[in-house]
Amino acid sequence: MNPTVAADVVREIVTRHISEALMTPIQNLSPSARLLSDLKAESIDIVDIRFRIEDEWKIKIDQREMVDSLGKDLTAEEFDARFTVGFIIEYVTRHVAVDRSPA
Amino acid sequence: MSETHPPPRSALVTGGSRGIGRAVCRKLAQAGVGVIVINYLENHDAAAATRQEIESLGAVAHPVPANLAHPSEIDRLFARVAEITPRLDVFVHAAAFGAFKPLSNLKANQWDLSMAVNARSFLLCVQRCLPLMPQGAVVALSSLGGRRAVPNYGAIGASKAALEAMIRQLAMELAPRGIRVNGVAGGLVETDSIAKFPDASRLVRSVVAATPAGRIGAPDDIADVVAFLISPEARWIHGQVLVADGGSSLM
Repeated sequence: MNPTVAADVVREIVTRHISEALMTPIQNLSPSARLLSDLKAESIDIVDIRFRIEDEWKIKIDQREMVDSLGKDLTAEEFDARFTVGFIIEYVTRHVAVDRSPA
Repeated sequence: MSETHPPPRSALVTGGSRGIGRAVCRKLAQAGVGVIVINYLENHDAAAATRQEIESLGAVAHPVPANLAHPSEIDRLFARVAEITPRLDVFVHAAAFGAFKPLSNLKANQWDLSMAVNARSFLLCVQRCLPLMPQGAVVALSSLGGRRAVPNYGAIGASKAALEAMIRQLAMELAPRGIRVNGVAGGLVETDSIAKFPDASRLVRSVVAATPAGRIGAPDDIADVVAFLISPEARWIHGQVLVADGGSSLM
């Protein structure tokens, strides 16, 4: 079981991993940034980001389940619009024990 | 391995749940290896199916998930191996992963990931085998892309070239300890990985046309060579990468 992690720490660490994997400055990684069309992430980059997050918190992420959680029967455009930095942060937040209480 | 060493009794196969790795597990079981640790990344269903197949052949199979991209998970894998068997006779590195794209637009992280899984993890696994392997055999799966130019295979090909260099180096270092280290370089083999190549069907057609034996390889074609390399009959083979490709590299 993961110890409680503050939500802002999850956000900071996930953003750092995305930045390092994609070699993109953190300031470009707004929550609305789309991984595919804005950040030019490829399928192996998504796996890389997942591996980094899994190693960080010693968790396993089911990539299919993660993608499915975006919604069923999405068009490519809908998928791209929903697959954002903010989505990744939210998804990871749900999979680690997070303390949402104010600091 | 000394020339009088008995047949191997225990083995670890990375990437052992599917494709060539699964075929290797099957061959090992058929060869009488009694305990087989099947390392896999995350496909639990495939690992369970392989376990069932191996155990139907009379061996005891232990599926152990571990992501070889992470040294900490390799440590955890070997901690589990040590719980399963006090002695490891065979290590086969079949795990492979990487970017199928031109080198000219490969990203740094894609290079790193390909090298980490295909090459670095082999080194880390061999190092961790040593306390469990007073003598034995190590086989790594390479590919023709480690020595030839193959479209969209630059990152994996480079990692396989590194793998082959390590095979030679480790063979020299470990032969005095009774450990033989060798490799198998296959051509195109019928596995799930083929679909990752851009324009895969065209690639298969072109390889078949260029292969004297008239087809692409099957996982068993490679696994049979692995089984030979770990056998006592291969006792004088050290640091070699045997090509098993239906003759495709001849032309």
